[in-house]
Amino acid sequence: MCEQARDSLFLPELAEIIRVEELTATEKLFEIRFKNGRELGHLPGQFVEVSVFGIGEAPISISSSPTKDGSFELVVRRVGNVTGALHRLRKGSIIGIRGPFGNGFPLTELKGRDILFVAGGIGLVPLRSLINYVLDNRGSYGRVIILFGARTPSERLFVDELALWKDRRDVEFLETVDRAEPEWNWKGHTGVITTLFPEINVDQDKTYAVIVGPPVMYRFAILEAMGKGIPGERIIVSLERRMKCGVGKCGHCQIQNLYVCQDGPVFRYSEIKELKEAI
Amino acid sequence: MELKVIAKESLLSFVNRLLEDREVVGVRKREDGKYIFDRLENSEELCLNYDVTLLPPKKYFLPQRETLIRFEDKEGELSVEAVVESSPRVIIGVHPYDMAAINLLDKVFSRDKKDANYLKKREDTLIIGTDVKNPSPYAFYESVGSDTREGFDLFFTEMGKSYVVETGSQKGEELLKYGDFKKATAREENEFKNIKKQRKGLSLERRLNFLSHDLPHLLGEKLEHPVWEEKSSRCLSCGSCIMVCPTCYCFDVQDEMDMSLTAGERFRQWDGCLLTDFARVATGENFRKDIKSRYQHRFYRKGKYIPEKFGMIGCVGCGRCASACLADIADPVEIYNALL
Repeated sequence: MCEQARDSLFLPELAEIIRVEELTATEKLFEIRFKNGRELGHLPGQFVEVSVFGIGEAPISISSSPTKDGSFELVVRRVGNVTGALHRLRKGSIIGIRGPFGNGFPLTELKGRDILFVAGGIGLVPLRSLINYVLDNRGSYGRVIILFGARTPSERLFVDELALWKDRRDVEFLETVDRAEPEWNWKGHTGVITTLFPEINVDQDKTYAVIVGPPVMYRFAILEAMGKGIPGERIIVSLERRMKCGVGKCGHCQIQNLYVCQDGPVFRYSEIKELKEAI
Repeated sequence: MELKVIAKESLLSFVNRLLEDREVVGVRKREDGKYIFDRLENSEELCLNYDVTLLPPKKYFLPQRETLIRFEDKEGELSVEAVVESSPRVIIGVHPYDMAAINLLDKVFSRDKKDANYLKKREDTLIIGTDVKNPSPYAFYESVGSDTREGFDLFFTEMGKSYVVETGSQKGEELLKYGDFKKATAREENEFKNIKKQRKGLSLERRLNFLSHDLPHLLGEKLEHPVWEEKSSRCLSCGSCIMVCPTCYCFDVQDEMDMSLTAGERFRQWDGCLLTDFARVATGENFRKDIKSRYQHRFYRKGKYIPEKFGMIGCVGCGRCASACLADIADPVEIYNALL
C-alpha cells in the first residue's frame, strides 16, 4: 500500500539548556543547544514541541532569530504541567525537542516592504524572532515600526532589547502598558495597544502589519490596521492552539479545515477572516 | 484475479492453519449478544454473519492506548527511544464500510508526515472481508458510497454452503495456500453475480436524500441552520459517538513514569473533538467552549473538511454513532438530511 517511513514522528532529539534567564515573575528564557550540535534551522514564526520527559510535551514558539548560530531561545510562561516543569529546570538540564514545525512568517514577501509589528504581551516572544531577523538584515527592509503593549510594566519582556530598539534611529518604537503599578513610576504611555495606532502613519501601499498577541487583541488590532488602509492579505497573524503532535494528525489545533500546526501558525487575515472560531 | 470458492466446512481448517503461525483476529459473538473484533483462540469462535461490531477494527491500527517513546535516566544519563509496536496479524470478517474507513485512515497517516506507528501495523496486517447480509438498523453505508471492495486482501461472499472468494492483493493470494480454495466454476460465477445483485441496496432503507458528493457544498451553506442548535442542545459531550467511530482518529499524548521514577513512556490514546477540553490551551482559552461549536465541528469534519482534504467523505455509514448516542442526537442521516 502506502510508502513506508520507519522514523517515528514522536521521537524527540535530546537538547541541553545552556542558559536560563528570568524575564518576569512568570516568564523564563531558555537558551538551548542540541546535544549532537546540529542547528535547529528554523524560520521566524515556527515552533518546536518541547519535552520534559515524564511530564509531557508542549508546543513553544521559537523566540530567537535564525541569524543567531549554535543555539536557539524559547520563552516559556509558567501556566501548565509541562511549562511548570520547565521552569524548575536549570542550566545543564536535558530536554527533548521535536521540530521546527509550522510555516513561519513569509520572509521573501516581506523583503523591501515597510513592516508594522504589533506585539501584545507574550506575543512578543514569536515576533521577536522576526524582528531580530529583520534588524539583522536591516538593509533589505523598508520602515520598521514596532508597537508593543504589556499589561503592566512588570510584565514587559526583553526589557534590554526594547531599550535597544527604542534607541535605534532606523526603528520607530512605541510602547504602552494597560495600567501601571504605582511603585514602577511609569512615565510612558498608558492604555491598551490600540491607543498607539493614532500615533503612527503608514504607507498603505507598501506596509505589512504583523500582529501577534492574545486572542482578544486580534479583533481590535486588526481593525486598527485595516483602518490604516492595510488590506487583509498584508495583515499577518500567528495563532495559538492546543497541539499534541505538531504534524497534522492529532486534530487538536484544527480551525475548521485548517491545521494550525501545518497550515499555520502564521496566517494572513484574509485567509481566516471567514472562519468562525479563528479570531 | 480469478474467483475462488471455499466450502463452509473448510473455512475452519483455513482459520486453524492461519492460527498456527500468526495472530488471527475475527468477529466473535459475546455472551450479551453483541459482536466484537477480538483475537481468536480457535476457528469456531469466528462469526461471519453479523450486523455490526461494537468497535471498528481501527483499534488494531490505532490502539486505544499506544506507546510512542520510552525514556530512562541512568545515573544522570538520559536516553530516549522510539517505540513502533507491530506483529503479523490477519483480521477476518471486516465489512466494506469498515474497510472504507481504514482506506481513509491510510491516507490520513501517510499524507505529508508518515506515521510509522500506524503504517507499520497496517503493513503487517492482512484484511479478509465479508459482505453484509443483515445490516444494522442504523446503517446507511451504500448511501455514502462505502460499500467498497478496495483495500481487502481477500473478500468472502457467502453463497449457499460456500464462500466465493475474491483476491485483492498479492499478499491475499499468498494466503490461499492455507486453505482448500477451488477455482469457481462457470455456474458458480453466474450465481455469484446474482447474489451480488440481490445483496445490493440492503442498507438503503436509510439514506442521504442527496448525493454524498454534494455534502461539502451543502454544509458550506448551512452553518446557521437551526438543526445544529436543536440537536446539540441535547448533547452530553460524552464522546460515545467518537469512541465507536471508525474514522475518528484524533488522539491525546501523555507521559507516564513507572514505579522506579527513573524511566517511563509517552503514549497516545483516543481523544475526540466533542470532549469539553479538546481545544483548550494552557492559558485557559477554549476555542470551542460551547457544545454547539464542538458538535458542528464533528459533523463538518466528517462531511466537509475530510472530503476536501482527502477526497472521500469522512462518514462510512456504519451507524455506530447513532446506536451508541445516549441522547439520540448523533445520527448523521437525520442531521445531514435536515439540512436540505
